[in-house]
Amino acid sequence: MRRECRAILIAVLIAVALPAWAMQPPKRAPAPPPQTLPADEPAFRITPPASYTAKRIALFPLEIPGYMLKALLWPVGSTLEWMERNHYSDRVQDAISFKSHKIWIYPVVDKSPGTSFGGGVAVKVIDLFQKGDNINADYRVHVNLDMFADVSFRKDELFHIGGVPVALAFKGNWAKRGSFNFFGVGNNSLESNQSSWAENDLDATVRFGLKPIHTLSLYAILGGSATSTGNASTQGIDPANNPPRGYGRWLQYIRMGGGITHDTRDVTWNPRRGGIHSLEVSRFQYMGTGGNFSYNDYRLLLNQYIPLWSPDHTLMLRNYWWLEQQSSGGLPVPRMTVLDADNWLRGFDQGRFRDRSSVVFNAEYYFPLFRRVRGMMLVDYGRVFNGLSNFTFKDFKYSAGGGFDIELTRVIIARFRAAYGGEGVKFLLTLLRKQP
Amino acid sequence: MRRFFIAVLAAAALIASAQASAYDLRYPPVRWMSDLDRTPHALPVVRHAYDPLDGFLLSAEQDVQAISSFATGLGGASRKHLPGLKVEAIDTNNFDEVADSTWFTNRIGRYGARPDEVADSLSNCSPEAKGALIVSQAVVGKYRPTLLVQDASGNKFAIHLDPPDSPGKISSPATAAALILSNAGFHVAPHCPVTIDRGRLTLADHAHLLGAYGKREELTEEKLSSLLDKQPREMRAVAIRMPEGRPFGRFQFTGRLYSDKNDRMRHQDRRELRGLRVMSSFIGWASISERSTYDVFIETTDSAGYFEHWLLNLTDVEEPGSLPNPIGTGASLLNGAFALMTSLDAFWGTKIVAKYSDSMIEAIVAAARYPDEASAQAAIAGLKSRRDALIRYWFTRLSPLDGFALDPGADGVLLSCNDLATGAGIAEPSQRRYRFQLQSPYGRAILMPWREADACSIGIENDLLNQLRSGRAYELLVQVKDVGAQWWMAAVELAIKSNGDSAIIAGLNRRTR
Repeated sequence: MRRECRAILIAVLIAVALPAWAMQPPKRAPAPPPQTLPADEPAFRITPPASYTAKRIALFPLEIPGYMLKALLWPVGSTLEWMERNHYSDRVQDAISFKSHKIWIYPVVDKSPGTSFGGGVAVKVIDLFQKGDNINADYRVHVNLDMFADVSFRKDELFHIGGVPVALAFKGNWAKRGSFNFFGVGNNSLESNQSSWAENDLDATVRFGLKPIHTLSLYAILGGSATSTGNASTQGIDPANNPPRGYGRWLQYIRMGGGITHDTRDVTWNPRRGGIHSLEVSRFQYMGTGGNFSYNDYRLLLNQYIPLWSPDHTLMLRNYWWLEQQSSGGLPVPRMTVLDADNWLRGFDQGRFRDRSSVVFNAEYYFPLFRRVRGMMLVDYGRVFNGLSNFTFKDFKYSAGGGFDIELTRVIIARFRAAYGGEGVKFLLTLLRKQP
Repeated sequence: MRRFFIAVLAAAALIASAQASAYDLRYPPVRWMSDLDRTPHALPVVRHAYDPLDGFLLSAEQDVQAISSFATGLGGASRKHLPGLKVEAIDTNNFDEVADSTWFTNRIGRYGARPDEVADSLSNCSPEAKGALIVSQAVVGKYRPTLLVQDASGNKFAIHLDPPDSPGKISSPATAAALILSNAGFHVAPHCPVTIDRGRLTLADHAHLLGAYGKREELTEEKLSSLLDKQPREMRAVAIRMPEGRPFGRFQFTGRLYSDKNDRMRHQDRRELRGLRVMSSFIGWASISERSTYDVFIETTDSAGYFEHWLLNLTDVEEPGSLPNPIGTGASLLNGAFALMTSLDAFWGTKIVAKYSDSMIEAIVAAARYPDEASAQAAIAGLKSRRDALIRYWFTRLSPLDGFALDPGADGVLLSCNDLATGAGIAEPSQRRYRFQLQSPYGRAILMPWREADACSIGIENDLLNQLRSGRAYELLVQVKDVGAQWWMAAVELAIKSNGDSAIIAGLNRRTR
């Protein structure tokens, strides 16, 4: 007890003595004012006040995590600064964009939890037809020979309706996976039940959009998609002998729908304030044979960026609801919503949770580390569920982690994430181009 | 648990003590003073070779990437937002003014607008009208070439060329912006709009070209001709007179240069650098960053000297257009000092901006030699609208009372002040009410209860002055509001010291809430 009393006494003494110390007149150098200063004013040595030093000492513990991260990433930061000083990032950028910055050819790298390492090449063509068009394409192959390809085309002013421009956006995806994880259906599927199947996906969508006001977009969706599964492994759940609904066949759909997007972000890449809020409703009409697997698809995204004490420090809050409403034939399992590392529950393997609906809440805090390195911390909280009538706020899965983005050039980003959700630390590495 | 509790208590005590001492009167009761930051010291070792025109090599787009990240962790939160822990600028005196230093010298804020002298200030910033201009260096920027030339008198200039098809597009806004910042008090390398005859350009013996990726190569006649191939014979450009002294590189908006022995405080805690955010908003300089800065070492003897801190390159100031974000420039271009700007810093900057009268702005635009009347009028309108937007924003958030003075009266002293809001025309003098209260430190005893007045002026009688203990600082609170408004604005606290029958203002503290 005596020790505690002594400590309290010291604290009180600090509280009393420091103001008295701070009120002492500053010790000033006796040197005469130099001739370069205005002659009609007194000269003093302006120094930080004692209160400033005291605050810095008191607040130093809050700085420690930042300094630790900075120390950890010092080799990366200093290498990037060296590159910047010697214009290497500009050289690379000019090389991959042929100096014109109109046609870009650049590498992409992709490593998600539960998948093998992959890489490939991407192409971006800006304004090829000199009418504000934008074309993107990339191809990636993984070491286990999984292959992916994406193509997109965008033109902001295709034609006008009553003076309002109509935009066109086409997006096509192809994926050929030899081994896609399957843990069963439901929020409580076990990690030990892991099995896998081969899966092919093909998706093509066209969106026609109107922007009646600057921040609001209305769009119609027309597209088609197909999924096939097969060659399941026999470990864990055995899809081959106890096939889930829709397994082992081609599932072909025509997609029709529409959406509305409210976008108030200040910039599209690394926003610091504003948000994006969208609602998308689609009908997936089954076009295949052997059942009625049609369903309705509802997606609600609420995404808000909040500037913190400095615009370099940003808090991102995201809430994403994805509901699939089945028709009488039931929802095929390969088309169910998935919650995993690729779908904002980053502490879990690819394909980890699957059901008719999913919801996820994310909080991400971004902060600067070096000139071209941005750190982040994340918390994910989500679950899958079997329709809104069965939804509860219990049994949510969560993961937490962090990572950083490195701007290798002004447009090429290396992104690293690590997250833990109770099933081991999961790592995610991507090399990508800045995209809105 | 007990130890944790004690540690928390000790930290709280430390913070409370720091807060309690926040309003100390550390300096003499004068509003304008100089900082002794020209103490000679040895020239520090230059770690990286620095080229004076390095900054011209970067484009504004690259500049976005060059913004330094200044803080990690959570420490910034407390510095900006937590009550009691916010760190105000630390290079201010008792009157919240910035001392004259190697960073800033008060001009328009202290002496007022002098439109007649604007044109004269450009008299020595252009090269000699005759004789050869010796080119020692050329830089191929992302968009335009820049030349480093020396005139017949030996003065050095960076010549930044206008686009051949739109003369004046760069040089005029840059000149106007440089005039505004230098009149405010920043050390800005003088910018002059000039017309240069290509025939006057002569290559120096060891002239070099700083090309793409900073590659250094010999500058030949052919390369110089190729650089200027689209330019007319009479080239329109902005001539930037290089500051005298040994170039030392760009200064940072954060941290300190430890090899500069006079650099005693972190740059992000300097009011002039924080307040520059408001002024950059005024002139439309969205891409301000370290690439526009320039440190020189002034040698006082052979082996010693001191640093001066300059703004060198304002060639990317935007033409007047949309109204600014009232609290500063666009969000994407913030440096550490700008990010930590508090309302007091912004108020200080706005006080300076408000000094630019219409006639001063017109004189500056006239001196900048815009290519035609329409663009000159657009520039004038843009500057006025930005100024007015800043004034309307900041003079309505903090008390706009300033210029306090205590003068001897018939029966005591007379306190008077300027209402900057009425001076700027955003408030009607007849609709303003003022009130005053004299109290002992921290309001322990009310010596003079609130007295209201129609003007910012009040007499303090000798009887009241005689109650004040000699040498001790008392608080005189001054508030203002519009007639009909429900709430008074946050008070300005004046520290009043009495010597019997006279009194002085020893300092002020402008409350922000």
